[in-house]
Amino acid sequence: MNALDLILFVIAAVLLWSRHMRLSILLLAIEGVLLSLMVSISGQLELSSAFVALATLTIKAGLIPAVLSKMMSAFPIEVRKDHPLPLWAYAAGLVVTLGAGHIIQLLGPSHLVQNKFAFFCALSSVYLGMVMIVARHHLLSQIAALVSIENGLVLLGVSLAGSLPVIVELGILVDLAIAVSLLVWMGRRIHLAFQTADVAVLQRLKG
Amino acid sequence: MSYYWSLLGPLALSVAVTRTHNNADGRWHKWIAIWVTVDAIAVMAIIQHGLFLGEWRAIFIAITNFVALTSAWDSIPWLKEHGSVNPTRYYFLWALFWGSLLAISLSQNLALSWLAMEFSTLASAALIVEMGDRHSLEAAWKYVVIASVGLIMALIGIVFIYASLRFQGLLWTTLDYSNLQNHYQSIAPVVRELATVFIVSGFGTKAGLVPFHTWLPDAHSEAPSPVSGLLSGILLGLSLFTIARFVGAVPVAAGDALSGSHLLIFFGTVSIVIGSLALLVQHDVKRLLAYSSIEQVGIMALALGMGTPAALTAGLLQFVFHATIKSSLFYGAGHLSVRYDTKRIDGITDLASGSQARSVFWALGILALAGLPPLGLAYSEWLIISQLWIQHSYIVAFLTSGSLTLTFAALTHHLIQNLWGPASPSPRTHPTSQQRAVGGVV
Amino acid sequence: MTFGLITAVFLAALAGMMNRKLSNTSTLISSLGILILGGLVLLRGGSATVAHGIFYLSTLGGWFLIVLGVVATMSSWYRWGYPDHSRTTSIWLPIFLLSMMTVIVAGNSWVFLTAWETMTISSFFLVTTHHEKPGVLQSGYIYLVMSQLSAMFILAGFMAIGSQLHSFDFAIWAAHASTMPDSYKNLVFLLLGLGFGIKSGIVPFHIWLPRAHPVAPAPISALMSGAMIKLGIFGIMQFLLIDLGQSDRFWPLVVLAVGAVSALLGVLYALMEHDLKRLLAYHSIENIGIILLGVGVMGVGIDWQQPALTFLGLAASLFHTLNHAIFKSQLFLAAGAVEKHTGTLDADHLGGLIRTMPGIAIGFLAGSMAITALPPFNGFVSEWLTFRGLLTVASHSVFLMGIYGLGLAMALGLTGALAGVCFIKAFGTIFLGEPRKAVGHTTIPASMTWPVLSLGLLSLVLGIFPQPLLNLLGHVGLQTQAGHTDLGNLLVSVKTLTVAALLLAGTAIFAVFSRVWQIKTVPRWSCGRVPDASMQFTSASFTKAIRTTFAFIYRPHRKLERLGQHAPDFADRLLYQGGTVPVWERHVYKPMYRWIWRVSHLSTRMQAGPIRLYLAYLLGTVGLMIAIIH
Repeated sequence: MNALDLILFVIAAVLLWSRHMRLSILLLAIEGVLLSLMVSISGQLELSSAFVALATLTIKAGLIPAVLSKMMSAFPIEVRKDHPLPLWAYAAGLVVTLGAGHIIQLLGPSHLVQNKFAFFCALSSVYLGMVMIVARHHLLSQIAALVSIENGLVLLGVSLAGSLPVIVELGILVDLAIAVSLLVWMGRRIHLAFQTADVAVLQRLKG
Repeated sequence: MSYYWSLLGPLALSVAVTRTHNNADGRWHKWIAIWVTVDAIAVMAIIQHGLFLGEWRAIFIAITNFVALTSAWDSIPWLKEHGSVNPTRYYFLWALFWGSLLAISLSQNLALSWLAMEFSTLASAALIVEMGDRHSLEAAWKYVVIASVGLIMALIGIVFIYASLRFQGLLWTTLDYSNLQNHYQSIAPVVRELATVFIVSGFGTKAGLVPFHTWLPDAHSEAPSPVSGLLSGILLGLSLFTIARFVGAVPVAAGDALSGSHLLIFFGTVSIVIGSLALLVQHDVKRLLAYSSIEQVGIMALALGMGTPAALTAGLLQFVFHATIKSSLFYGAGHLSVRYDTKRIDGITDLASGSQARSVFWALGILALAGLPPLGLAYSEWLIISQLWIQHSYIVAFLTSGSLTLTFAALTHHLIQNLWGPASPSPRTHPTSQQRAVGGVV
Repeated sequence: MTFGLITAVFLAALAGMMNRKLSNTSTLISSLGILILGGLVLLRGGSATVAHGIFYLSTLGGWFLIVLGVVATMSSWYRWGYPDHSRTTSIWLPIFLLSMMTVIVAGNSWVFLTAWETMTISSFFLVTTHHEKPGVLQSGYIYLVMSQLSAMFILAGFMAIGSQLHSFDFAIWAAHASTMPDSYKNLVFLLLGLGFGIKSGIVPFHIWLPRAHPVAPAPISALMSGAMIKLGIFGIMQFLLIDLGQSDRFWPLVVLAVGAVSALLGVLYALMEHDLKRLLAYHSIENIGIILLGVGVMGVGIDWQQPALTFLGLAASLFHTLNHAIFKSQLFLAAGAVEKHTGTLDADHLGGLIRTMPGIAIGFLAGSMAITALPPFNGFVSEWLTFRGLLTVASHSVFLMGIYGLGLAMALGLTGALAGVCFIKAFGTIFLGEPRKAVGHTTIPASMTWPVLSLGLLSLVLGIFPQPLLNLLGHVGLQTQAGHTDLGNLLVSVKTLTVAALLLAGTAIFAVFSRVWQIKTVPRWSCGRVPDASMQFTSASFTKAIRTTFAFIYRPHRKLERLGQHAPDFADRLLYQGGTVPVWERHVYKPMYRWIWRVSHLSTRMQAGPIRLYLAYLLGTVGLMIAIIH
């Protein structure tokens, strides 16, 4: 169990660091598989949790990587790679990981956190995703970061509460699927309109 | 429970719309508007009891339906003006957006509110993309990404709350506001504070509180005008009231600095100041309205943050007035920008010499927004300021009053430009010098 | 009864809005209604709430209703001949009238503020009636913003009282506001004083007044100058002096200082004006200053708990309020007639109008004498009372305070003298001499002349027989607990009737000795040259001595340019440019205006464009908040 958490945390870190879209998509797919595994072994084996695990597998390991790679293949080769990660992002990553420790300390007296290590891994992956969404330039990286944050959140739910209510879990999944599809659709149109996949060009509206 | 019936209208509409044919001449647009109107009236029958009792949910549903029906009627001329927009997709997404707004209105559960809010983001963002130009793409992208990150923040808070109350074994209904209210004391104080921070900033992103507002001027100004009306009039207020319901249900321990009301008052004040300051230098008429929404939401946030019964009533009044006024102004701005072929404020000039109805409508709307009595908003603003005085929040009261003056100055500055044309009303000093030519030779 | 009357006034005014043909009649009827209402309230005495606290009628309000009624009636009458039948006026004028009335009779702060703001917006639309003329929109905008500033200060002040007394009803304020703690009274005094002061046009918040009043049509200028700015005085007296009662002794002194400064600077700025309506507008600032001197005396009386002094100040300021309303509307209406007659208001173009419009000339002369406080006109009586008040303050106090009082009295004296110069200049250049430019001479209808003359007659009558009105003021005095303190004594040292008789006798003797019936007109001698109009004094040359004396206030500048081929020695033409520096605009308002724009620009820097920056705001703020929690 803790090993899974650790792996997911490492994946989130690698995701932040990776420049190659193909690698990122692959990592997201792996995350999806691991998450569905985690959901299925965390609670008691019930019909509902099995259903959630299946849905997670379909959406996070199937649908989302598929649409992302379809989007990527629409881009020419030279825009399939993001800028190198700026230096401050490493520092920020370190700070937010420490920040997760701060929250564990805060929550210490409340006995909310049973498994400190799992909680730490989950919260740090959420945080790393947030660093990623700020640090990364590429349209795809931003989508990937959103998905990664969402994954971290599921991890957080598992580590804190075992499982979230089924309706909430499914709602989040459906929502994520729609959001990613919408973003991918918009990303392709942005690429067509602006001839680039760098979010830094989205600067016409200001003031 | 019966309030959930009101979701039937939007759902039926979204299904029905997919059955229409695009190539039709647009006569069916009218039937959609009629359907929305009939539905709004029918729903009134369901909620009338709640309305008389002053239930928040009933009021929200009523005002949402009201603005939705005006938006539906405004969509007819708007679609005529924008031939490039695909009406079927437009109405489908519009119906989903309407439905998600109703879902937020009638939600009694924190998680349901969250879901509905997320779906409202997606539906409205898709509507913005429907405009199809670079600006709208940029606005929609920013909107979805920022709002999603914000809502994920809120979700972290919700997970904390749920984890603390999981021992109840109530699953989904754990997050009912009533359950939260009854059992909030089982949640550790620090968890409450942390969750409050996450939820206020998360839902605050959707409500457009500064500094989470950055997507708002872009999205509201680039959206189709009938949708801007709903976004600005309804969605912002509903998001804010969702925060208020959470804050009301799960108060933090006394003495904690970051209580919900403190946060609301703080961010509200910042929003009022920033929103009103930005009004003066705006060039785009819909952006102007969007910034004024930030300011108005800030005022609402003050009211909800104070939380006394009188303040809550004033906040509700502010919401209702703002919804009606701002949505009509957005519709008007859409038509004006088509008529004058520009969205620039200094391009829309000399209204007064044109149609009288148009200039009167625009002047009334802007003056109402500027807080001029007896046009609605003035009274809710005064009530809120009076509550600030009663609670001895002098600094906030001072900042609010100053910003309201600035808002008035900025909005009337633009209004004069609109009404009477190019003469710039910037105050130059009057020359008192006397000039004369003395002829002849000395 | 009173409620019925108020309703009738409302209905009459609304009828005029609906139908443009009825506009004149209905405005006149509602104006008369206001006059009657004021008389009723004043005669009945005491105060009462009407219609469940929506309206609150006090004797002070009654007095101001009369002030409003007089001006409104005359302006409505004047409108019959005034060729301005735009839709704007017929819609907004009734609203303007109603809102002014409602301000006076309002029963709680919500009604008051609604009426106050309606008054602002309706007068704004009236001011911008001729928005096509250059500068009108700008003037209107400055007026609107300053008015909103005043409204916000008033709102804040009302909130301060309301939150302390837990009520927004004026009847309750009248009963309990005096029990508020002193620190709170100071706050209220500051806020309401600023709010009402801005609307009355006190220096340094006066900049809107000489802009907004002149550009409006004449009946509107008369209403604004004659009645609207007085409502600020009403507010100060009602809420600050009567309701608050005794407060910090510092405040009446501030009121006195503000009054003296406004009076002096108002008249000094007026002297440099050659646009007749702007000149009159600056005199409104001066007269508001004089009224405030009276108000200050009243405040001192309240603080010293001397009913006699209180009543003296009250009588002086209220009487001057009425008087100023009468002669200022008279002068503005006359100026409107001049404008319609010639098409211009520039004193440097006009001249000799006494020959083409004698009625207006006589009216203007009467108004000028009244405003410069010459007996036997009413301005003399009220300024006399103000003097007495100031001198009483001076004589009842020790060293510094005594000097202060004397200084104020001297400032008032100087103001009167300068006002005299100013009106000699105005009347002389416009109505006497020869026209300086060729201007048109449209004949004006009698219905424009008669209101001006009747107002002149009214000020004459009030100047000779002020006693009945002073008795009426006793009713107002009762409300302030000043009581009927020896009303007869008020005028003891000046017998207005005797003065008038002496003046008449003196004039008659002078006429007899100078043999006016033997006057002959002969050609003028001008060193052998043919006299022409450009040889006359202009308004600038007339006031040159004053301009150089008060150079530290005016900062005058001038430039003489020689034009032509051999310019330095034998110039073909000389170009003279001269003027004064608008100090407040240049050093206060313009920098402030620029600063606000700069801040506004700065605030939008936040919205710089990049989405990553926006996300950083969001995440950074949340991170910061989490870091605070412990």
